[in-house]
Amino acid sequence: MNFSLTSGQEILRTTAREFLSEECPTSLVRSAEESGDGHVAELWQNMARLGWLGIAMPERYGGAGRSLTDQAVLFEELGRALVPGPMITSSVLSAHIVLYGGTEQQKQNLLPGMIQGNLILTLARGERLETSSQSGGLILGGESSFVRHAGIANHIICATRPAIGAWPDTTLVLVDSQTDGVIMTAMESIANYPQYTVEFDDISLSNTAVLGEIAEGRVALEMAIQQATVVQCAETIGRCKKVLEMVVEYASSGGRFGRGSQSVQHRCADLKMALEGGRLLTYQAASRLDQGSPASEAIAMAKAQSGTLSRLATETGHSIFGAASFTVEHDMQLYSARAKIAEANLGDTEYHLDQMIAG
Amino acid sequence: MDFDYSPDQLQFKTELREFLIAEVPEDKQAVFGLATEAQYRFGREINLKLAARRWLAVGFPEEYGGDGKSLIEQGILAEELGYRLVPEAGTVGLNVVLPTIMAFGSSEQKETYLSPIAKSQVEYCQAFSEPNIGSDRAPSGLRAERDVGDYVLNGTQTFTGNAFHADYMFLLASTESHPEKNWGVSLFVIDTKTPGINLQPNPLINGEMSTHTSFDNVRLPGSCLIGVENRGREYTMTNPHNAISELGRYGAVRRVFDDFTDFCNDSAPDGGQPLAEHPLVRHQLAQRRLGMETWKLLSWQGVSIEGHLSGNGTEVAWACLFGSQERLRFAEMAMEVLGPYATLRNGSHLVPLLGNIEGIHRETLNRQSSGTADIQRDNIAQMGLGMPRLGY
Repeated sequence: MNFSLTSGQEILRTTAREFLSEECPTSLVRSAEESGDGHVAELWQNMARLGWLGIAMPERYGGAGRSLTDQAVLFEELGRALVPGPMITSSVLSAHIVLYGGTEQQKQNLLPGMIQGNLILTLARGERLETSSQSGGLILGGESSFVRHAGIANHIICATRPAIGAWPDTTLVLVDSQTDGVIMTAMESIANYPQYTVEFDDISLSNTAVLGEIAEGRVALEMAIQQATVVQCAETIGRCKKVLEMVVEYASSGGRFGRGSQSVQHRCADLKMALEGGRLLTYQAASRLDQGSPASEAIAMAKAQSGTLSRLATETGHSIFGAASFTVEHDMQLYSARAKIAEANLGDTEYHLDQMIAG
Repeated sequence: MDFDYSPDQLQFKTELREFLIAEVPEDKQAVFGLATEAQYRFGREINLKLAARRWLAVGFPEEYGGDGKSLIEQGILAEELGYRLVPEAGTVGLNVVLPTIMAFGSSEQKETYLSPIAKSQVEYCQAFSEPNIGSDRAPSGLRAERDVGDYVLNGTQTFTGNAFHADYMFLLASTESHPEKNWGVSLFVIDTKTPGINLQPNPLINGEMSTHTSFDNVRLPGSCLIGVENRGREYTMTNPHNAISELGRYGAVRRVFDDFTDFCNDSAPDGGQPLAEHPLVRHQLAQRRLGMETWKLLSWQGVSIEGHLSGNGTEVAWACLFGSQERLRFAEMAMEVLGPYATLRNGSHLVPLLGNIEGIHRETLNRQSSGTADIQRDNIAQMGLGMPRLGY
């Protein structure tokens, strides 16, 4: 039992913080948001060179082969700096789907390119994506919403269910985003990156488009979602830590609160306590996954708490900063928009409370 | 990070659990809100049996009656004693006096005081508060004045829990060489039979007996001072065993939470589906399960940081603050589910769960252990986050 980071993790954290304070100031975050695609190619390439896009991918595909715990340490820093781009979507969620579900050939085709920053993947899920067989291949139809970064993705992994009477379970299908019949409609949202409704107009695909085997995609999808959920929790921890640092500095440096205010200090103490609880829940989940021990309940607890932590950070920040934080100019609003997006991503608090009991 | 016990620690936990299940029948278990003399005596009996196996001070060196293991084993002991609802006895000696003297005492003090605690031969009480000052442990009214090689104590302390059972008292008093509020406090160990100490009963609402304690020219030899003068507050605040005490509180409440969860799974008061199938109850149980896990992790973090204190030392405050809130949230939620039955006391023929839910709720009103929630928040903000000390 030891809740400290290893020296390797401390180095990773320091390196990441130093790099991001130079290369990812909030001015860059804002311009990525305004540019429309929520992505900065140069930053992406730099992160690829640092090995961050494949930090937890096996070395044989060009990854760094590090643990999920290490990846969580990195994502705390990415969250803190509000790093733009499809990090969770492409390099965690989609990459792990390929890793767990793809054939060796598919892994060779996709993972090295993704890790080097040349390929971006995203995931389309939902009840209305259907595949059915036809001679020599299959047909993909239906639509999916909240597909992140689809506009810059090279491939879309579709988690599909069978048209009635066909295969019994989830089939994962890989679709080139430029294929005729893939129709994208951007969704206006508070997210700092574009999300799309993607329609698949009965696209004919060969059987090689199936990731792994027909009707055998569910386990890979669930395992990848587990990894991404923990990473999303870590990202939230980093973001909320930064909010706490910002309010502590503001409330301790004179100005509106003079020599200090006990009620403000107590709000900060409550946020600190919630942050520490969240951090331990998150790393407990990461550690369980790293060890290959049962992790479902630990993950559900971490994500359930993550949502309430996000809300508390938002409430604390806007209360203490006051009217200034309601302006576009103030950074606090960047953090509160992302807090809501993170809360809704991969299951919110209510969903995961329910998972805890079901598990 | 490592969230698991080592194989040896796991084995200790298993052996301890089997021992406690065998030795603690249900009718001898502690009941929240109901401290009786018989329970206290039973707690002492169990302690003696634990001590015979060197398990009571398992995390302390063998030369002082321990088993030479780590703080983790000491935490496992506290959590299991709580979870098996073993009535509390000897906890001040074990979790406060032993580690503090171990860390800051002279070699003579270690020889004199440690082994009897590890062997469960003595009982201690702790006198850290005084009227109108509170547990930020900065007394100004109880003074210890130097007189040649001795100290002479005059003044009062209150909320001295368990003083009538105690052979010795662990005491904070102002030492006048430093009149500033926070640093003029020194720590002493005193025989409770020393002339001039007067105990007046001050019963608590859970059946425990605390005392108003007055000191009238109480003369102590200089050898009763722990460590150096004026650092008493620091010694007591940074005791990593405060987290072990929190694990004990967690363990006991967790046991009642688990019992309550079973109760909700098994009971269908309306003759229909069990309580736990009711969506609102399910939701509340899940939230409190999450709260319990968070409380456990924060408490274990307080234990595991010993030896590599991460700078500000407020880890234990996070655990204590969270714990004081979580047990109240649990008690209120459970009372809501139980309705009027929740107000019945142990002894009533219709009382659910032996009255433990009502008992936890009542004990939760005692916020002074390890400092009130607001003092914990002050400490977290000012010591942990470096925010300004406020002038009050």
